[in-house]
Amino acid sequence: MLRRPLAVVTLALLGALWPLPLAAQRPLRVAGAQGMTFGTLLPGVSTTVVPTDVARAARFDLTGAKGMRVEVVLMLPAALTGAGATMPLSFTATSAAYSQDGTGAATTLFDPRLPYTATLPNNGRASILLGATVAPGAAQRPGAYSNVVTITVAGLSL
Amino acid sequence: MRTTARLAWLLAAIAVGGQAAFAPRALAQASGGSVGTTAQVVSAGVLVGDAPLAFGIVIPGIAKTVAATAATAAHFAGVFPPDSRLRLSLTLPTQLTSGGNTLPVGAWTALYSDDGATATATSISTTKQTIIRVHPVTGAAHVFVGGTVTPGAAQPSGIYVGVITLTGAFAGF
Repeated sequence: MLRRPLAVVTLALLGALWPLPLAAQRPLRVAGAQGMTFGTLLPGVSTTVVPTDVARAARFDLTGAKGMRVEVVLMLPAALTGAGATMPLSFTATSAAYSQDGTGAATTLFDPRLPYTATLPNNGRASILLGATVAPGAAQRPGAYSNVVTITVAGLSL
Repeated sequence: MRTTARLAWLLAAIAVGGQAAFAPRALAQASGGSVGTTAQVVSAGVLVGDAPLAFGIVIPGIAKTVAATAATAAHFAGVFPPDSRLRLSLTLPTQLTSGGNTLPVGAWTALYSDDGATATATSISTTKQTIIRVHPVTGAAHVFVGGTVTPGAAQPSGIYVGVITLTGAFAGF
């Protein structure tokens, strides 16, 4: 008679303490949702896209378990290439933003040149927004220029 | 005795499990992605139209205006010798067309800016030539154009288009 209540309590405690198996958590995913678009550039005139410019900034969408801490690392090109020439591309300490709604509002700015750590919100979704400055030379060769930005997101300890 | 020993074992199991639950566990998850970055450089001495005037959805019988300061205004840009003068002239349609149907357009407005900002832009004529001075350092010149469409109450549905032409001629220093 005395054992049964003890067994029930014991099992309840074990259930509360045992962590959720990894297989039951939402897997961590990141997807490139939008490229960075500078549009038409004039020779000799630098152009900056700020990360909160949702129309032109690059955007990566993250999904994972709520409350998951993640580390974001961006591989940034130093230039755009095309038309047989290159065009310098630069980033600053506020060229990137972490957004929990992907709209450019309620964002936290960060330096994309350094690893960034964040915690996913309750819905497990967030976005990384990226801007930059491109500096065509006065004699910049006309034409289309492009390059690729790569992101890696790793889940950290809970 | 048996009861006491079993209880002790269960308590030990709880303690071990608790420590395991509260100790940090590394999550072996990682994911990656990439996006493109693009730009188009135009030739110096050339005016380029890089944004059309977009009225969007228009309702029959209801006129719609897009201001020259609006995000959907037409935009032209070019680079010229710094601090030089440019003679600008606009050729503007009186109607947009969709097959055999026409949509009246008018009430044109235009702005000039040497830095691309509409907030500091100045109005320029849409019917006569205007001489402007390009940016003293970059040589940049920007023109924004807005207008108003006036659909009739029985305006046939469709996509209506027209052409805005901006001509720039070097006018010395």
